[in-house]
Amino acid sequence: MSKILLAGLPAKDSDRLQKIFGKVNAPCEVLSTVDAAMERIPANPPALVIVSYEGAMEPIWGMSEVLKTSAPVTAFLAVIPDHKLETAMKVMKAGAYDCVTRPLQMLDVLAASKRAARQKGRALFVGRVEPPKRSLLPIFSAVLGGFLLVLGLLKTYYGPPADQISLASAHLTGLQWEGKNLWVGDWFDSNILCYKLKPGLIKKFRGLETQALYKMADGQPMLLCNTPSAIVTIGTDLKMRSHQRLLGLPSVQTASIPGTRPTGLVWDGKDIWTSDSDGSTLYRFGEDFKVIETIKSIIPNPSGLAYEGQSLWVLGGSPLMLARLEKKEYGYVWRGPYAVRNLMIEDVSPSGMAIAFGRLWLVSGGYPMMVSASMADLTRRVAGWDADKNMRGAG
Amino acid sequence: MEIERRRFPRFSTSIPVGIRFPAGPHKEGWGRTVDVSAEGLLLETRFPVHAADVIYVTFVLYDGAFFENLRARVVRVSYQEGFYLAGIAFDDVVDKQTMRDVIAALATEGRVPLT
Repeated sequence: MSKILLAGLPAKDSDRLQKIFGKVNAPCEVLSTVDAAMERIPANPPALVIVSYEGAMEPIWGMSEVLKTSAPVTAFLAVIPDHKLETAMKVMKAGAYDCVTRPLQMLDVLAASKRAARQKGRALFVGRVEPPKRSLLPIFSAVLGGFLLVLGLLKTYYGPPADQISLASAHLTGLQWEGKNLWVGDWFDSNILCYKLKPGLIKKFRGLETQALYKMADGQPMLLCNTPSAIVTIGTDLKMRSHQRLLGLPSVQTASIPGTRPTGLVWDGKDIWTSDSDGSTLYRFGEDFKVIETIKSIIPNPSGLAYEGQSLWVLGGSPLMLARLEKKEYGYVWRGPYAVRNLMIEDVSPSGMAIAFGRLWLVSGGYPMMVSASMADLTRRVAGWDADKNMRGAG
Repeated sequence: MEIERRRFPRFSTSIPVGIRFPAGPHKEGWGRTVDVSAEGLLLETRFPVHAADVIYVTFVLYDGAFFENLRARVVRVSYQEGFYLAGIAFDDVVDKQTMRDVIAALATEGRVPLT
């Protein structure tokens, strides 16, 4: 008879055990029931019997009795369904030398089998039972996977841009952030450039890469803003134009603007606003580019205009100050002004302004860098100014 | 001259022992005794034990003398082919007098071989 008898085990367990014992060249025989095994054992006892405990103790008791009377040097192991101490103790007290639990692990099966057989003075197989050597492949895969994940994050993570970014032009004018895109004008080359924010985990390296360049065919842009349907510009000829986003930026609509020195151009989601430095005035335009409202700026000589958080932000004065115009049901409310210190080089006036990522962004016609400052840091009061001044401009 | 350091004699016997681990990956395990005495026992188990571990052992000596959840400390451990051989010492709270009496009675009857 074979050395190891597998009696009454589920097919999956039998296959697994045969595979395990095959590795140590210990032959197995499979019998479908414990009763059949109990009949065969007295004639030719194996070195080891393995049975399954499925809740009924009768097969365990029966096998134990047969082994005691007919095969006293045959070792006896049981496979139990769960890792419960109560079950194992019950089966071991009934006669099994040891219990192994599912899923059947090679080390547990070989160790228990060898020891059980040795207890009966039998050598089940030659060779030591050792824990399996840990494969390096899972560790290597995990390291490689982690590296690729970090690389992916580096390539795809979009965070706020670096606080200062070079735009490689000393003729910057007009500025607008549109999500991850930055629009900026270059009056000298009559270009409107669209940049895209580069992804990266480290903020310092999140610069810009050129996405598109539009050359204005009929003027030099001073200011620009985006609406859903068009790019709107104010040129050096003091005309406001809306352009199709095509080669050459063909104009769709043109109109003269009030004032003599436009310094700001924004879209508030519904209307276009401009600021005029000489007149210290803000203008609101309808779809036909006709003025529908004028408001006096509390900041003298505004040099920039932005729209953010349902408010108009006006930059201007010397030293630079920032104020916020909020629309209420009863009129407009001014908030501020707030000091803007140490942002631009002294005596350099901003020529473009935008608010995005919680920061105020400025460009200047004589400085190639776009600079920024935190809005939270900036919105501190300037001492000596009235707060919450209500104003409504005359039409 | 070899001096026997143990205060109580040891008796070889292989009986199932249940083990409870207060800490570690396994909460419960099992094994078999190699020998027992009133102050501790040597057990073999496939469940990892380490020196200085506190464990709780349960076993039944013959004739129903049942010892449940005895607090013990692992005094020494060796590993051999998938099995931990652990010498454990019962804690002071264990009723050693009772255990001594039971083991002595069993030894007298010849049920527990003397080493």
